[in-house]
Parts: sequence; C-alpha cells; structure tokens
Amino acid sequence: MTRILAIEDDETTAREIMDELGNHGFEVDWAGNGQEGLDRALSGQYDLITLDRMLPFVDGLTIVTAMRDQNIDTPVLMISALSDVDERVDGLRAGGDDYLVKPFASEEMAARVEVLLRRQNRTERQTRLRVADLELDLVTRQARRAEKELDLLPTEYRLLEYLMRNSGQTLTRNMLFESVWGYHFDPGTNIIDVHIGRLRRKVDVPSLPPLIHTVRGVGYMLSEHL
Amino acid sequence: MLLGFIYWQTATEMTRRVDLILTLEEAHFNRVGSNNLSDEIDKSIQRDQRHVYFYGLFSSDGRQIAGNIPHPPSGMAVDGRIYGTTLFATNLSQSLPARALAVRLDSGNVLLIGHDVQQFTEFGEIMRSAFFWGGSLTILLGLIFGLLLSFGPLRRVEQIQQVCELIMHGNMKQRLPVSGRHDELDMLAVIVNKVLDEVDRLMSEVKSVGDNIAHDLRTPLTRLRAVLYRMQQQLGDAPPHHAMMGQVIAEVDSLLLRFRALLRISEIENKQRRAGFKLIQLPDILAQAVNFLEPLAENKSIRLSMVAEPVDPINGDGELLFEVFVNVLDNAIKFTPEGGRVEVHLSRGPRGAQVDIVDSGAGIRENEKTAVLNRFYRGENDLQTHGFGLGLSIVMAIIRLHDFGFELVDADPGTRATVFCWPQGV
Repeated sequence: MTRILAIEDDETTAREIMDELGNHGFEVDWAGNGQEGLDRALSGQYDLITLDRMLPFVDGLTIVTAMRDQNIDTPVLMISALSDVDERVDGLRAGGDDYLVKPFASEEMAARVEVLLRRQNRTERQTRLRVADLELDLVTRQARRAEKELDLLPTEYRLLEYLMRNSGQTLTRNMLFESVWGYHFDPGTNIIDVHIGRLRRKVDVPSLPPLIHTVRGVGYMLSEHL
Repeated sequence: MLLGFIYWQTATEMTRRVDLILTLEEAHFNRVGSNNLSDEIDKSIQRDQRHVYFYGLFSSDGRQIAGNIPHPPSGMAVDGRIYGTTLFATNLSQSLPARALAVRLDSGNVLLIGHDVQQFTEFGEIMRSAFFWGGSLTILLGLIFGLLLSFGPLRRVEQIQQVCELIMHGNMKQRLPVSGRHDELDMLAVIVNKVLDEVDRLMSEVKSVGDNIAHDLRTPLTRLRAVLYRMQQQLGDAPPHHAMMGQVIAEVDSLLLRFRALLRISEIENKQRRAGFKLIQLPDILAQAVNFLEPLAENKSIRLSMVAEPVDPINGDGELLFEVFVNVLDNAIKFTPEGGRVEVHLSRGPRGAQVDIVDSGAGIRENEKTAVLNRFYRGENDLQTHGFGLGLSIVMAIIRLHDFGFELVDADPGTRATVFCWPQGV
C-alpha cells in the first residue's frame, strides 16, 4: 500500500490532506511540526511527502535539503502560502518535485500527488508512448490514432505528450498550464479547455471511442476507460 | 521720474530768475533815458564778461543803432513780454537760445534785451543723460537682481512640478522638497506633504483591508469548495443534484478566481525588488502569448496575426510579461465580434521596443480609458462577455513594476493597446 507523509502544522489543512488522499486509497501519516517531520522523512519509509514550506522548529526547505543530502529521493510536494515565483524556484531548487500554493483545492493536491507517484514508478526512458490505439513517437514527434497519422501543432503535441505520459490520471487545468506552457499564474479564461477541445477534435474522431475525458470540476484525463 | 521732476523744477526756477533779471535790466534802461542809451548799452556789453546778455537798440524801421544783435528776431512781438527765442550775437558770431523782451521806447526806437539760456539746454542735456544712464543702470541692475531672485523659487517650483508628476503616476512615496528657508513655498510644501502622508496612509489602510478580506475569505471558500466537491462525488450522477452541485461549485470557483486575482495584484504591487529581472526576448514571449490564445481567436473566427520587427532584449520578468500579453490579447479577442481581427505589432521606436495590440471590436470611449485600468471595471459592451475586470489591473501592476508604459486608445474602429517597453521614470 502506498504510504504518504503529510508534514503540516495547520491541523485543518492536515485533515483535508489526509481525508482527500485517504479517499484516493493512500495511507497517510501526519507530522505536525518540522522536527518530527524531518525525523520521519529521513526514515525513508514513505512513497511521497507533502511538505509545508513554513513550519515551526525546522522549516520545509531545510527538511527537503536534508533529505536530498542523504540521497533520499522520495518525491516531495511542497505546499506553501508563498506564491511568489522566486519562492517556487527556491522550493524546487532545494529538491521539491512540485509546488502547490495555499489555499488549494484538495483534488488539485491529490492529482499532483498521483502524478508524482506515477513519475516515481517510471524508470526506463521511453521513446514511444501508447494508450489504446493512440501512439506517440517521441523521437520523430509523430502521433498516430488507429494507424492514421495525426497532424498536430507543436502545442498540441506537447499537450498530448503530457496527457499520455500521465494517462489514467486526472490532470488539472493548472497542471496542464504549468507543464505544457511552463507558466504558473492563473490564465483566468477557459483557454485550457479550448486547447483541449482542439486536440480532442484531432484525436477523438467521431468513429472512434473517446480517449480524452473531462473530469468534472477537476480537469482532464487521457485513458482507454473512464 | 525723480530726475524728470528735478529737471522740470530747476528749469522753471532758472527761467524765473532770468526773466526777473530781464525785467530789472529793462527797468534800468528805462531810468537811463534815451540820450545815453547807446552808451549804456555798450557799457553793459563790456561789463558782461560771461557773454550771456544780448542788447539791441533799433530804429523804428529796424536799423541797428547800438548793441550786439544785428537785427531783432523775426516774428517777435514788441510788447515788453518775455519770450523764448534764438538770437544772433555779433560779438560771439553765433546764434544762441535766449529769453528776450522787446519794448518800444518813447522815441519810437525798439530796445531788445535778451539773456542766453544755452546753459539751460546744457543742463537739460546733462539731466537727460543722467536720466538715461541712471534709468538704464537701474533697469539693468533690477533685471539682473530680479532674475537672480526669481531663479531660486522658479527652480523650486520646477522641482515641485516634477515631484507632483511622479505622485500623479502613482508613486505615493514621493514628497515635495522643503528648502529649509521657511518661506511661503516651504510652508506650502509642508502642508501638501502632510496631506500626502495622510492620503498614503488611508490608501494603504484601504488596500490592506481589501487584501485581508480577500485573503481571509479565500481559505474558507477553498474549504467550502472542498466540501461541495466531496458531496458531489458522494451524490454520484443522480439528477438533479449533480447538475446543481456542479453549478454551485462553478460559482465558488469564479469567486475564488476573483480573490486570487485581487491577491495577485497586491502580490505584484508589493514586489518592489526587481532582482528577478533577466534579459527577455520580446518576440519569443509575444509569439508564445499569440500561440497560447490562437485557439480562442479561431473559435470566434477572428484573424489573429503578429508582425515583429527585430528588437533588443529588454530587462524584465518574462513570466509576468507573458501574463501581460495574454491578458491584453485575451481582452482584445473578447471584445472583437466574430469574424474580426486582432493584430499584434512589435516595433522598435527611438526609445525602445513597443508592442501594439489592435482589435476590430467596439472600441473604447474616452471616459472609459482610465476606468478600465481600475480594479473590477467592466465596459458596458462587456455585459455578454465573461471576464472579471481584474485582468487589466494585473496588467497595470506588472507594467508599473517594470516602469513601462501602457496606453489604451480608440483606434476607430476598435481599440489599440500599447505597451511601451522602456523606463518611464516613475
């Protein structure tokens, strides 16, 4: 069973994290302060850690730095009220794998946790991605659906690659925007939906079963079955 | 003025004296009697060492009998009154300005007595020259001192004007300069500075209240959304609750989006340092923004095009500038009806790079220009279009952080938004 450690000093937030991740079928432990969190994190018995950036006694950056110094590569989702780009860069540079700004929607947090766990399990370097009859050649940058080549624009290719790399996982609009475009602000419009819609028209032609699904209230998922 | 008065006074007095002398002389000659008159005239001429007297005795037909005047001046009345005239003196062989009187004696002869007033004229000349030089010097010195005196205050007024312009551009930390001379300008500056302090304090108070509300409401809203989301999951797909739940969650999402935007503005405004600035390639960022929003334009059959001249890299925050262009372009697309066009033009002006985004929409009214840049404003044309009105406030916050310029003008038809990518000195 997947074990997750939530290092978070605010009890309400901690409960939210535990409830949501519990619903996703994970076993979640809670460390309420930095010292306890550091000790447990260094034990190396967790598959993932959610880490508050600002903690009493030992702060989040110190914990992730200490972990990486001891070659513990457990994925870390940094959670912080500091939304500044520089803070994000600091968090990721110290060894965090993803960065989520408070207050967050719990499904956004869960989606990020899922993606981080999945990334951890993927070891070999792939040159070809495949979901059902959809194929993506990462070398030639060509996409095929049911043996028919798809004519994708560069953005559509990157979007499809990200969806396929994380197939079977819910991806929020924010995650798509961050990963495909590399920016971290809220684009504010339904522009991500429009991009997905355009990709959908090329990938999910009417005669074939749809692969790109809308996860209501959260985001999108590419998978053979919903 | 004073010199003129003195001249006038002196001239009057001198004339009065000369006239008195002439009257006395006439009386003297009257007493002498007509027989000895010629001799007396000769004697008088000899006595007059300074050559200021003129005498002339003429027969009734105008012939000279005695004296140093060859003939009486033409047109002078023989009535014993004193006139100003010009007389020719034979002993001096020159014409001179004079006061003179002429009387007809009992014998029928005419006696003319005159007095040279050349010295009056000379005195007048001296006075006039004194007047000219004195006046000129006074005016010149006055001008010099006046200029010197006025330069100081003028320079200070200019400084005040410059500071006021900075304040008007939103730099509320600026204060009017106080010279320490305790003069009127200083007093005024001190008062205005106090007013500015108070305005600044009130503004930051209002702003922090607004930010706190946004911040404090955001957490419970996020939790509310979490609970709603969980309820939605548990209710499953059973109508009608599922659809209603989706609607409620969407409303909460739009509330959250507004709060996030509000906090984003103050986050950018508080970001005083520009340590994170790097050299940015504007064409790349613009192309990314155009590319990002292209599907949105395509959905409305709007032709979105970009022309980019080569420009030098600029110093800035690439992520924030991308946000600016996305916001402005998004707005342009939103306000352009189906089948219209939006053009992006990057050009190099004399002072730096400039980005124009022109749409073929309804345009913008004069009185709306500054309003649209304020938080929450939405144009009347915008009623059917969604959007939160905070986009342009975020744009302005980023523009101010960069010290760039931003302008919205009616392009008739449509709107032209321009980003001036060089320091505006604010």
